[in-house]
Order: sequence, then structure tokens, then C-alpha cells
Amino acid sequence: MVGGERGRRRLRVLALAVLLLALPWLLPQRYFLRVVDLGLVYAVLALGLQLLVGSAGQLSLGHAAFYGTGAYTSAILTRKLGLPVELSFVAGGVVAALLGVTLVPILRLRGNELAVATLGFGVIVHAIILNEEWLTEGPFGMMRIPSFRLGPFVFDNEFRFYFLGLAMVVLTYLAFRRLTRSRFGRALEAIRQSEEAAVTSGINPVLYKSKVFVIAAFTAGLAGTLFAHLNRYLNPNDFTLAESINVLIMIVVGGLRSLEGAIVGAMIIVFASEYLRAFKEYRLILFGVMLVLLMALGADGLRGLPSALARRLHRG
Amino acid sequence: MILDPLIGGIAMGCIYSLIALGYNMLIRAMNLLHFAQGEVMMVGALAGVTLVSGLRVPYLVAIPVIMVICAALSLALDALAYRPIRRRNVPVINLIIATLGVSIVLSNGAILIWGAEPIRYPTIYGSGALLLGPVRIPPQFLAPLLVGGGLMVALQFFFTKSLVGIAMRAAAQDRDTARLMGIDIDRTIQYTFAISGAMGGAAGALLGPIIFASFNMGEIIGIKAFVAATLGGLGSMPGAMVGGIVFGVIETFAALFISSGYKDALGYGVMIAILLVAPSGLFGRRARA
Amino acid sequence: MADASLLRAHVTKRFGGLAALDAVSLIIGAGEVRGLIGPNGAGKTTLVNVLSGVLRPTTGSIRFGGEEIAASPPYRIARLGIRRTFQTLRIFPELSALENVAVGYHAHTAAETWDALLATRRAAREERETLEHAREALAFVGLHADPDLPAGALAYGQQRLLELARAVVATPRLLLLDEPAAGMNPAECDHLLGLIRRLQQQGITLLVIEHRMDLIMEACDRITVLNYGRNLAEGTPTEIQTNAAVVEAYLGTYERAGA
Repeated sequence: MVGGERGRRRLRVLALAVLLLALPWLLPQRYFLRVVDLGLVYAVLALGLQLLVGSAGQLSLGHAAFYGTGAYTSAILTRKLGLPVELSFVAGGVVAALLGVTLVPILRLRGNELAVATLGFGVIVHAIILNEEWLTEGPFGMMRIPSFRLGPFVFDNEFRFYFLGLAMVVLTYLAFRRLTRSRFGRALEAIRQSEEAAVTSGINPVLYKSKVFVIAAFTAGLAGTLFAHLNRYLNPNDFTLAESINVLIMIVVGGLRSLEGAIVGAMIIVFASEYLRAFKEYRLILFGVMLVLLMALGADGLRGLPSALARRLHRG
Repeated sequence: MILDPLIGGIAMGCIYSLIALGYNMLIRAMNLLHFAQGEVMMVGALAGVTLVSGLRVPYLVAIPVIMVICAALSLALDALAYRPIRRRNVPVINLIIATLGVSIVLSNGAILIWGAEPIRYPTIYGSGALLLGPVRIPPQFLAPLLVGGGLMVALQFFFTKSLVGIAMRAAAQDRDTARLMGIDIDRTIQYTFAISGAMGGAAGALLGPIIFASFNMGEIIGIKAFVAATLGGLGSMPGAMVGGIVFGVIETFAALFISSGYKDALGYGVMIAILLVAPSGLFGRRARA
Repeated sequence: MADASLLRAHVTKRFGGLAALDAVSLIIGAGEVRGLIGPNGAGKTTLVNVLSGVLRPTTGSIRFGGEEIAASPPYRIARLGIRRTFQTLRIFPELSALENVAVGYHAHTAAETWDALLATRRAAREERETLEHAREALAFVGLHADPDLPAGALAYGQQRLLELARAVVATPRLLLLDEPAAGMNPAECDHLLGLIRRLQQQGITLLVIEHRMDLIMEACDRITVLNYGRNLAEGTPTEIQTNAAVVEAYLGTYERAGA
């Protein structure tokens, strides 16, 4: 890169950083910030899934299981055992990661079978969350979960939480960027693009799939703890197959192959869901139709929209 | 007695098999996980309510009518949603998510048409049951056994003896060669959608008298049928048939011994266990030869 | 008896009831260039698939450098030093040419997730080393296209060279080439011949499947002939050329009937 281009890039990043930091003051209403906060939580979740599905090419339909495990772990540790949030936060991610490790044996399965196996896994975990009332309060949900705190700082409103969420998204994004641009990332891409060529070049596919799976599970667990301490109420219904599919939709809409797309897709879907609330019954039908239309856009999701439109105009 | 729940399990299993056949046909033909297949079944069940309750069509006549309706629905989905997307050469996950979008549209559309409350089928059968020696088969189970079993046998004949069926299998195995032999691939895909729709419709029609018909049947029953198809072997016709029945029997017996909260989860657990031992399901072809 | 052979394979491979390989025997000495020929369907690619671990033999044994590898997964076999190219190209279309070759060097490095996340010196050093070797491999095979172009954008002949570069970047002990000259013009074929000779000079043992007889006869020290999944003949190029059974296998009994 020539000096001038690098300078321009730095400027863009700086402008983006300023915009992101100033955002809470720029939004017209508190309500919007709440939606953004939720979007940030989902962005972390989506980033993990993007690594798994987009980079490594593994379709997982049970991701909500890790999300829920992280959420409930942190909630239980803080609410029932009085542990400090700073610790339970990490514990949420770790427990979710351990749960991911138990699933490693199924990673040898072929694409379709893997998808259904992860789906089944998600249902099983949901059943546990729903039925073990002594642990999770079951269908009544878990209330009065404390807010996140870091030493003296308590993140108990949308404003403060925004910066926590933003920091998490940025950290996760940068970490994943490093991962995907490394030897590790190259191995993942090789496995995705041609597993046969990858293995005959000495790459152990199960090892890499397992690592990615556990990383994605850990990230989902972290997102879950964020959610638990943002929403301060957990219900098993938030961690069903529908939720797993929700996150999947986010990464496809944003562009399957890109980390940035995962963040953008999460924001779009969260905002779209809020916006569509106004339409009541028709809301979901519209969502479904929108989804089908978006899927025609190809692997780049919404990022492919400008070029798809351009092609249309040229042909018509 | 062990036989009563066994009959019930096999009957439910036949219904799962019909839906699973639809899934497996589409996977075999185009590697497509058709998540809206359950919703097609749901439309069949609810359409059955309208036909039998509203229009007073005799149940036995309603079944083939429902099959035709669902076949048409399936074809329409392909024409309106799937084929345009396939034309654009997108990764298969896009198509899978499109089927999710379609399922959302169908289930919420069903709420608009039939409401959100589960609907009971009118009493079709008397209280009599078929007695075969020690075995007592209530009529709502007899229908799935006969109709489901009959359809499965007919489908086997279709795929092995009829020209269209053989063409469909050829196209599924090697699309390019089939094309070179003069087989119209688009047409075989249409047939695949139509038949899988018809199977789903039959399942819905048979399911109606057993459980309530409601807009979310597709999600609940459809996923189970999916799991059954995987257990039996994705893409395999015998796998769908056996998987469905095995799943139905396991589920019924699990309900007897396990608390209701986990009885759904058990079926999935069994599937995962089977996949760990046989990665392509009971009848699937193994991945590493 | 001292065993100078690098590879001793004796395998059977069945698919259902069909024996694609029926007690096929292959013994290659270190430093040899062995040709593998036979009519279509003879089992050549199946044999290479079995040797590289992509397929598991139904029965039999494969000893590589004294170690039994018949039950080893393909990535392990690759790490032991057996590399291959594919009859139908298997490149990574979205990776750049350079990165494609870099994948071939993967087994010689070890920087994993923590190294990547913390951007350790080891990670940087290994990456430098990998890319350097990758560039050397590209130069060796004579692929002069822009190394940062996505591999899918290269011409077919260039993609073939790319796959070869990926297979040799880690200096394998045994290199399996599956129809490397398919679709090549005479000039490219000559170039390939030169590469094979240079690889042999570097001490790499080669097994070459080909239908181009001129290339096989020129390049190979010995030739193994398969037909219908069985060994048909083995010998020097001259011996094979004059072997009546081999000629008949390729041409069938047509000539006999006419004569």
C-alpha cells in the first residue's frame, strides 16, 4: 500500500471510531440505544457463528445452546451463588466452550448430518434449561440478574452498556481478524474450499473444525453473559431453534464470508425485528418474504446489493 | 400391554416417514434441506379441516384432494421462491435459509387464514377398532398404517418401475449425464417437489385426526421428521421409511418411561448416538469409503 | 534382506461387490520415477487414492519407509511425506496462488491460535519462512503469474502447475502425480518432463499416472501396468513397450480377430 492510501485508511478508521464513540449522544431517543445495545450483543454472537459457518464452512443449527449456556451460567453464578460479575462473565464463556468440546465427536459428520446433529443438540440443551427448574427457574425465567460491573463501574443503563458492548464487539472483531489472517485462518479456508486437497496437504480437518467450534462456542457464551446482564431476565424461550436460525440469518444477510458482514447483519436484523413490530401479524410474513428476497443476493448478502442492482439496470 | 403403544408408535412413524420421504427426495435431488416441508404438511392438515368440517367432504375423499393441494403448493414454492434463487448460482446455505423464510411465511399465513388456535378435527371415526388377534388397532392409527404404508409401497414402485421415477433417480445421481441422455432436469426437479409435497399433504391429512391441527405443527412435527430422516440416512428412500418408523416407536415408548419434558429430546439424543456410530445414518452411504 | 524400497503396497479395494483393486502389488525404490499406466478404469486413480489415504484399503498393507500406513488418515500420510496432485484439479479457488502453495507447507509449521491472537514472533517468523518457500516453489515449477491473484482466475495450465507447486513445496519423499500432463501442449509437456527430472535429482521419488506414452517412456525408470484392477506387467519402458499383453490390454482383441 502506498503511503497516501494507508493514510486515507487510517483517516477512515479514525472517523468511524469517533462516530461510534459519539453515537449515544447522536441518537434521538434512549429507546434506539437499547436496540443498539441488543444489536451489539448479537454482533458478538454473530461473529462467532460467522467464523464457524463462513470461514470454516460448518453449518451449525444449535448455536443458541452455547448462547443460552453462557447466559444461564453467568446468571446462576451471580444471582444464586453471589459470585462477582467480572468472574462469572468469563465463566459463561468457558462453560459454553466446555460444552462445545463435548460436541467434538460429531464434527466428523458430513455437512447435512452435522447440521441436523447440531440442531438436535440445541433442542437437548434447551430441554435441560427448561426442565431443570432447580437450576434455571425453568419456564418462569430467571429474574433480578445483576448488571455487569467492572470494579467500581456499574453498567446498569443503556448508555453505559453501550460502551461495554462496543468494546466487546471491537475486541472480538480484532481477535477474529487476526485469526483469519493467520496460518490458522488459511487452514480453515483450505478446509472449506477443498477439504480433500487440504487433508492431502497435511491439514488435520477434525482438529481445526474442533478448534473453531470451541472458539465459536466460547464467543457465544460471552454474548450470552452480555445478554444476561443487559436484559437482567432470562427465559428459556429465548434460546430455542428459532434463535439459532435468527443468528444464522444475520450472518447470511450481512455476507457469509466477512466478519464485518456479521456485525452489520446483526444490526440489520435486530433493527428490522423492532421496526416490523409495528406491523403486528404481518410482521413475520414480511420478514419471511424479505428473507427469501435477500437470499437471491448471493454469498455477499446485502453487500452484493449494489452490484446486483447494477447488473439489473444494465440488462433491462 | 406393549402392543397398543407399539401400534401407535408405528402409525405415527408412518406419518413421520411420509414427511421424511419428502425431505430425503429433495436432499437426494438437489442437496436441499427443505425446512418448509413441515409447513407444507401443516397446510395439508389445516386444509383438511376446511374440507372436512367446512365443506363436508368425506374424509377418505379429502385425503387425495389434500395431496394434490400440497403438491401444487410445493410446486408453487419452487416456481416463486426456489428456482429464481437457484438460477442466481448462490451458495446452498442461501437456499436453505430461503426455505426458512418460506416456512415463516407459511406458518404466519396460516395464522391469518385459520387463526392461532389449534383446531380439532371433527369426529371421523366411530369408536370401533380393528381387532387382529391380540392386536387392537384404533381407526386413527389404522389410516396412517394403511395409507402411509400404501403410499410408501407405491413410491417404491414408482422409483423403480416407472420411467419418470427412474429419470428422477438418474438426475439425482449424475445431473450432467442425465441431461445428456435427454432428461429434462427442471422437470424432474418439479416432479420431486410435487411428490414431496403430496407426501407431506398426506401426512398432514393423516395427522389431523390424531392431534390438533395448528399453525405451528410444521415446526414441531417437521423437525422430528427431519431428525427421523437423518437417523435413517439423508437422501435415502428406505432410510426415510425406516427412520420414520423407528423414531415414532422410540418416541412413543419414551413418553411412557420418561418425564414429558425430555421426551422430545430423547429422539434427538438417539439420532446423535446413531450418527456417531453410523455417520451417514442407518441407510446412508458412508462418507469415507 | 535389506529393504531399499520406499514403498511396499499390497492392497485390495472393494466398492460393494466390485473389486477396483484386486491384490495389487506396488514396490517402489527410493529415488525411482515409476510410471503407472493402464486402460481407463484399470484402478490407477483408486490406487493413488488408497496410497494417499483418501480411501482406506479393504484388505492389505502399505509400508512407507518401513511404517505401516494403510489405516492412517490422509493428513497423517501427507505429514509423513507423501504428497499428490489430482486428476481433476483441487486447488483453493478463492485463495491467492501464493497462499495455495503456502497450504502445502502447513505441516512444517506449528503456530496455532494463541500465536495468531497474540501475534507472536514465532508466528511472524513461520509465516515469512512459509511464504519464502512458497515463492521458491512457484519459481521452481515456472509459474510466473501474479502470485496474489486468486487461484480461480488462473488459466487451466497454470492451475496445474500451481497444484504441483503446492505438492512439492514441503519437499515430499514420495510424490504421486495423477495425469499431470492432461490437456497440456507439447511445449508444456516438455516443461513437465524437465520438472520431473529435476525433482528426481533432488531425491524425490515419483509415481506418475499418465496416458501420454511419450512422457511416460521418457520420464520413467520403471513402469507398472494395471488392468481391471490387477497387476498386468511391470518393467522398464522398453520391456513394457514390447509386452504383448500390455499392447493387447490397450488395443483389445480387435487386432487378433482381424489377423
